[in-house]
Amino acid sequence: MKTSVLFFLICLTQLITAQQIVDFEEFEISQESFLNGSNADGSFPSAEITLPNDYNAEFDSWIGWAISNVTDNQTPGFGNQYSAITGSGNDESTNYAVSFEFGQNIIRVNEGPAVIEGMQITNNTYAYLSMLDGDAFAKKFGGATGDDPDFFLITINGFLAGETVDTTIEFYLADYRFEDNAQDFLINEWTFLDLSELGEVDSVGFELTSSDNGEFGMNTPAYFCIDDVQLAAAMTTNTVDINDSPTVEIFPNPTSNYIKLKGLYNSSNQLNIFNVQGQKVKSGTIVNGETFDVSALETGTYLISVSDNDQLFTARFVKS
Amino acid sequence: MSHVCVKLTQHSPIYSANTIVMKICFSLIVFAYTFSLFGQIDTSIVHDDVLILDTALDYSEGKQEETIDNNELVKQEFPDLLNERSGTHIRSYGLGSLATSSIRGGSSGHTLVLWNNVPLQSPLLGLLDLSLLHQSAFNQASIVKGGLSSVWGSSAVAGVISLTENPELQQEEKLRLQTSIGLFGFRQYAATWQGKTSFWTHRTTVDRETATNDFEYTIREDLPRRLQTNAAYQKWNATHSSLFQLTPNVTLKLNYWFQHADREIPPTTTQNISEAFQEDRAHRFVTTINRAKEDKETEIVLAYTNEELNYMDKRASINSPSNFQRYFLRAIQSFKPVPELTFSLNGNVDFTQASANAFQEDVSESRLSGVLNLKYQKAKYTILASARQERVDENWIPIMPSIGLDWSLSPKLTLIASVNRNYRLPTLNDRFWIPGGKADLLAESGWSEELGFRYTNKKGRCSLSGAATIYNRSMSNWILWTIAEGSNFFSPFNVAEVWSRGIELNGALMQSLNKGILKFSANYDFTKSTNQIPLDIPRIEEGEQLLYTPIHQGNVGIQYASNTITLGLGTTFNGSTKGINEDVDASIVTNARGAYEFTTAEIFIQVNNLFNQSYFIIERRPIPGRYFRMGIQLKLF
Repeated sequence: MKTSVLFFLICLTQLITAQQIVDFEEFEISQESFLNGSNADGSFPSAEITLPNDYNAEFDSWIGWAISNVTDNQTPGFGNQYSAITGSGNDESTNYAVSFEFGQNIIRVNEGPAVIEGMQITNNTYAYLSMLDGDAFAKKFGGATGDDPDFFLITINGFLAGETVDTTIEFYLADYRFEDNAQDFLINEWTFLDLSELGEVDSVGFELTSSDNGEFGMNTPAYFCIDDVQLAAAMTTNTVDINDSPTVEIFPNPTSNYIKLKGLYNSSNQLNIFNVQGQKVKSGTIVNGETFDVSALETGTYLISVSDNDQLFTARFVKS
Repeated sequence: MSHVCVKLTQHSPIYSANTIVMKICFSLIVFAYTFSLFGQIDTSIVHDDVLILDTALDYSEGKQEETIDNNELVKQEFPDLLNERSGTHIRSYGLGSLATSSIRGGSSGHTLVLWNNVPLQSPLLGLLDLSLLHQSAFNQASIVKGGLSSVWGSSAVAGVISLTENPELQQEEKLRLQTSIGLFGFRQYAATWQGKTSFWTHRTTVDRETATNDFEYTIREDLPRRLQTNAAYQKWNATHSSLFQLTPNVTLKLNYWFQHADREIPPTTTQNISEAFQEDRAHRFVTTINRAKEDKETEIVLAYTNEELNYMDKRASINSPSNFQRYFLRAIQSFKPVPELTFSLNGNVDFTQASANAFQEDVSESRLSGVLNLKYQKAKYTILASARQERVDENWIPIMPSIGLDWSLSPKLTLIASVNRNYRLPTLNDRFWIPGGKADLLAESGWSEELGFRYTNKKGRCSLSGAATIYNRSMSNWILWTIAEGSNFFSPFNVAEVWSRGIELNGALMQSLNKGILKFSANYDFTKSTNQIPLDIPRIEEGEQLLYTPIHQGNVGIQYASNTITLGLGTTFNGSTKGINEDVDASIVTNARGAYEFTTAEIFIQVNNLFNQSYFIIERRPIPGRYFRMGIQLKLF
């Protein structure tokens, strides 16, 4: 029995792999500025992924991706198109990426297929304030009465070897479709977008749709921002078994209803739970020192992975 | 994706277009029956108090023409008058906000607006904001529907609105002071001084108008009424016109118009806040020298225009100034080799320089054109044949011919017919806007045909007049801004083909009473103006009606006018239209006005939207419910 469990863990360790995070900080940008492709490179490559860009020198116009460190999250309108509504990158970092595309905007994986675990995502300031207050072209979400069932949706598709993978992921940057208007929301913080269900891909595509459409197409500004793209990669020395960690603890183990993690660097972290077949069965955000509900899991052995401060902690626990 | 519609439920009856059309048709049928009741009557009876001049726009043979005289202009807002009198559809963005015209299903750029025979439209935008027009700048207006490009050039595709300031209309020395007040902070102060000597006739006006436009409107009955914000404006207008009789045969006319408007741009119903602001400023000079003898006439028109439009939005950190200077020269030589034939040749030079933030550099455009008109006039008919050749910068525009006929079938009935080739040149924004502008755009062009009747009949103290017209127009290379595949910005393309056709009916019955004239009037326009090529952006199906273009439109009105009292009631019906974002419901709006004239003063009142309807012309752009304006004019001498 012990041998088989060990075998599972070895396999899972290989399946889960470590994460590499693309945070765009390597791009050098002067303060309160952006890169919009005017250097005519046609893309923003990092070690793991490439963000395409198409710049029109004649009209100083761009489409695709830009890299920005603009912090102005108060000014509405097209003139503030390079800003994230958070006013900074994820975790107060400096740089982030801005997407502007009427159709599908692509992120390419540089070397072979990989699992893109996810990324931080938030609204662009121009789009956010347009949805919040309306402008001369686009409506405020909810409409004149506040009751319009508006939404601003990103649909994410994965591509592998020229084929679209079966799974499609949807994420609402704004959702006003609730019966109770108090539940309507606009994303205004960096929020983790889990893409791991796409599996291995060599590129992912993001497509925006809105409930606010006119004869000239979508009225809502077609922008959003991302940061900290997490890719699964081969196990690296950054992966630490919690049992070997002098600081991080997982308890109780075995457990019937919840687990706690203590000693993590970040106050909250993304947690993934895998079964012995390597399938992800649960994910969410775990707060350092607080409980994470596992009561719905079937009895058995599971592996958890937690990304914390550029390290991936893994551990086995038993659901009794 | 279904459209989200804002439903205004309070005071918002749903009108059936068919019902309204039936009512208007019924009214016209009643008028038609009354036609047969009248025989020949003396025309002077019904025009006792109105000075009638030859106000016809030159070379309008084969067309229906509506003339609005000074008496009407001073008592009503010009866009309302245009709508009521000529059936021109006014696309109003709200009280004090942008208002453009649409005639016969054309765009706002397809109606040429002239001031003293000089184009008034912005060469950058290709349109004129009718809300900025102030009646002090002209004392007569003519509206001719139909293509007139061969005579008047670009934009005279669907019609021409000609505004003229004619000092010769002033027959006596006058000094008038006027002030008006109204709801929503409306204030107006105006002064007019006019005089006449043996060789000099002149008129000078100064007018200032302000309003806060902070009206309330209803979104839905169960929601609090909303207050319109950021909608204030102030407008200054100053005009001067002088007519010098230099010799018995030579006149010199000078016209100047200064215009300044500061306007806040209000938010839409789906916008929480707007801090947008627009400043328009214009200086316009026109000099006209005319030398007329028995069989020949020479006229030279020189004009200079300097206009600015500054759009600002503090919240969005937008400051977008633009300006243009326009130099215009028209020289006309006409003569009569035989009494029936008038031969006229004119040459035009139209040079524009413009700058704007959105242009990479200052831009200019020169237009040179020559026009030949041949008018053959007999007792019962007049035939006009015209042809125009224009060169824009380095490009020749195809020759634009036209032919028109006025044929008096009887003293009461005149047949009109015309065939015209028309065009509209790309605007400077179409050509030079960054991003997207395309310098190599073609001119929109096409043909129009129309056939109609005019009927006038007078008997005793009654007068009956009416007109009916059927028209057809096709336009190719219609310019639309769209996103090309793989592009991320809008660009203009010669993509659309538009087919416009329709029927126009109007009638008026005037009864001269003991001390005044009672007038009933009605008009109805059936307009089909459809795209013939399906497009993705804008999303247009083949055969679909153009945006903001009602298929059915009509007016009915009643007016009583005597030497001391004027009372008027007018109702306008606009059929439902399709908007960019939402459909716009049909509306029926009634306006009332009255005036009483004393020896040394005149008081007047105007009540708009008498029945307090909630309605839109452009979706999301609220229009106030019932509101009034009243004022007094002092006649100092």
